[in-house]
Amino acid sequence: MNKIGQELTFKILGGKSVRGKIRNANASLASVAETLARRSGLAGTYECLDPDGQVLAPECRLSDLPTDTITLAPELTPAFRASCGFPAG
Amino acid sequence: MNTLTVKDGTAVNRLLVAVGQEDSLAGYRILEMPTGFPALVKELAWRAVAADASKAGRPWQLHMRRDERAEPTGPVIVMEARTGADAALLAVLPVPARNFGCIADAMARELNMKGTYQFYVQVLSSDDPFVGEWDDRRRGDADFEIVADTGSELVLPGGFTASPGTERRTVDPADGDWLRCVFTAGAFGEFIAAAETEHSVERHWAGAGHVELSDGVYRAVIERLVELPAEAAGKAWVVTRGRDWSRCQAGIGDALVAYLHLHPREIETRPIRPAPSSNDAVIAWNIETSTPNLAVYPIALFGATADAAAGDVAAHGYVNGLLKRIPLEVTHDE
Repeated sequence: MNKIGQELTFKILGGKSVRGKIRNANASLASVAETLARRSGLAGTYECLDPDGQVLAPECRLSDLPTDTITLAPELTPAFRASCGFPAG
Repeated sequence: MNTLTVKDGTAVNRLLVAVGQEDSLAGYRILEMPTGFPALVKELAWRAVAADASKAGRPWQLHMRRDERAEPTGPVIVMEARTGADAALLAVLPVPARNFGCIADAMARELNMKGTYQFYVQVLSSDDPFVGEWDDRRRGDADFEIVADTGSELVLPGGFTASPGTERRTVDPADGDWLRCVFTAGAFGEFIAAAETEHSVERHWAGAGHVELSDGVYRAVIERLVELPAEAAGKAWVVTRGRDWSRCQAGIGDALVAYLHLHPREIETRPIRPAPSSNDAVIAWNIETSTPNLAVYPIALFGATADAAAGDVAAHGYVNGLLKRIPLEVTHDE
């Protein structure tokens, strides 16, 4: 069980990563991942993966994460429909 | 001209983008450029090693300044690659301020702005107090405190070939003297064969290969196509899950040089060209974050044949911050 102050590392495909400390163990993975995805330059939708490539539920609380290393993997959706936008930082 | 003095060890790599309507500010962002616009920063880095291959692998700093210029370019953000304690200049890339429109577009969409809007870009030094306040607000998240971020570290790329490679024929002679999409004959044959027989699904592939730098030209050479698992998600569109893309990208690594896919010839009776849609541009943006190479984006229309490839096949790539059509070549060897 992850505790306040415990470090998590979020990896972006391509080798970059963001490391930080849990301040609110009840926060959802989705809320933290969304902020970090945009900060790291990802656009559109993505999945959060554990080191084995298994999908982590977005509603999972930080305290319940089975891993301290999460990969943000964008989904690829080629389409002729305007839907997603670029990250704005 | 807006000039910022280069200080030792102080990169000038922050860009303020503000959007508004009717002279009223609607919102702003302060981008740290390596992650704020990966394709643009990578282009500058690759231009630096194209100018001097001996610098490959060295750390470098990004410095920017805003330069007020008359039309047709209008204001320009001058991006410079510098290295060493003396901030020696390696390469310069002037980018029209209007080329940051994609950032402003995303902001306008997030702010739910309707109709015409204006945007403004300005350069900020990383030691500007305004930047410090912005960083403090973003770092001090109530749920998660960031302590380290490798996204801003800059190293000049390597792993490229300096020779001009084998002879090539031009399939699409688009304008441009910097970025080229090159297929080996075998990879192009495979791509066209897939397009020729496809009439309903936008199949897509990752392109593995290598980079050639010679005579100031960057060539992304596609040697192998890796088809991406995809689920049909609607008419003329598919989805590759993040888990599947992650597995594919891990298998290709730094050899990722392209993303390829097919287009229908028309959508609801509207003719479609082999050019990126807004969704395709989102994919391109994410591809650029996942490879150290400048990637290229070939598209072929359903039913394209090798004989009629011109017009049915085109490649695009990021040049000066815009996803532009680029020359497409095929080597003669197998």
